[in-house]
Amino acid sequence: DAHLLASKTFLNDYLVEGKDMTVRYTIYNTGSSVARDVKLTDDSFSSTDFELVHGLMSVSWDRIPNSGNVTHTVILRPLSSGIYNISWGSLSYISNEDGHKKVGFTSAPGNYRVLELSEFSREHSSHITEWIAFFLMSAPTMLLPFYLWYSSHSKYEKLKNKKA
Amino acid sequence: DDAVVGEDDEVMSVDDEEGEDDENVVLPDAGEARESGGDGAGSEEEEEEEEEEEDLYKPSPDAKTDIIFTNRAENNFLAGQIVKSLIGFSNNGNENFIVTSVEASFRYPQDFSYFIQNFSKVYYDAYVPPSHQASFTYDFTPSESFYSRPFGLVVNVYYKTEEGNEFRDAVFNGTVNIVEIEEEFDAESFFMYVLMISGVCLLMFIIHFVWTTVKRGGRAAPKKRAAPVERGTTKNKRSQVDESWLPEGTIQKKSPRKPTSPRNRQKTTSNNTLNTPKVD
Repeated sequence: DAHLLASKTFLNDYLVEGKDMTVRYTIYNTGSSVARDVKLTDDSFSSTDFELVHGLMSVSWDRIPNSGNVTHTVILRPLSSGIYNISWGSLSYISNEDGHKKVGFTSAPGNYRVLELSEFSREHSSHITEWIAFFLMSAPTMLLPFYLWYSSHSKYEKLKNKKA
Repeated sequence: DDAVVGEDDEVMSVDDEEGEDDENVVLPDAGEARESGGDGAGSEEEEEEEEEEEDLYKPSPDAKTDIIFTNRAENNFLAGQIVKSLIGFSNNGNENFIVTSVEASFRYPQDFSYFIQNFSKVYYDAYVPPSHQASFTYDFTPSESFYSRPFGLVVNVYYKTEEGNEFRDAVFNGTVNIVEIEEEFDAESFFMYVLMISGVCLLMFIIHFVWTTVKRGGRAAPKKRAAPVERGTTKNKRSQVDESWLPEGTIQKKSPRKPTSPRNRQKTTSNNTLNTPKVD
């Protein structure tokens, strides 16, 4: 008989509100025969909290050969921050020639924290405005000595030109 | 004599424990290995007690478990690198099962009651209804200090019925190999080569130095040269002082006075002061 194991994982290290996240489903056939009519559906992402950007939440394969595997990815966007318990997707397939139907669940990622955008950018953005502010604030310490040097230098230059 | 009796007791308890444990053995060779290594197991008393406690649990006949390692070939793990596994659980009975947790541990391959590394127990608490299947991910990282040799790996799945009957199933119980990481860049050997090359260079330099001195006929004494007398920036050396960096207006005109050392000047003034009263 065919026997399917399915994992559901996030490819992102951080889940951030308003930023895309990738969910990957991988189905392994560890049984001895071909799995037919494999259907994978996932309704664990509620439409109020997650927006579907790309991909299908319900897919099917005609057959998955024994000791083969298939992957399916979906891109979602969390709409708000907070802690979410992300549960499993469901799987159904016909395991043998007699048409015995099996139902199962993928693995569940579990509790995940969706970060606020500001919190995420505080740690991971390139901080361009902060760097500009830093340069502006450090400019006087560089410009003041330069001005003093330049004024004395130009005085001597003037003297030299007069001589010549 | 007392000590000997104590030892015997320990061995007996080990044997008892093994007798119970054998029922969970999946791979026959693992069981054999454990029996042959039974005498050396007396040292881990705490582990034995734990084992005996755990052995109250048996797998349920209505449940079937299996495991695949998704990022590495089975029986071939890298030290210090994460191993991802996917555990399948099938409920073939008529009542709900609750998969509570999964734990894994590396054991001494000759004696599975001797623990080498324990991994965290992960709690799932997932309901699996009758004639349903579920998958669980369990990731662990073999210690970096493990080098190429076989280890016994046991992955246990704990589950229970709603009535509270608890079960344990060793979903993986066998020997795996830990292989070393094929690093592209090994800093240690790189610096060893650098050290060796620099050592060779130093040796060649020494040989060259010795060779040239011998060729010249012994250690030739360096020719004595008169030590240059430092004169500072005296007037007669002025031409040697580079003053081009100074703006031209700042250089003082050469004074027409004859240069005199301060000492001479002092003498003349002192003479003057001495002379004047005499004149008067």
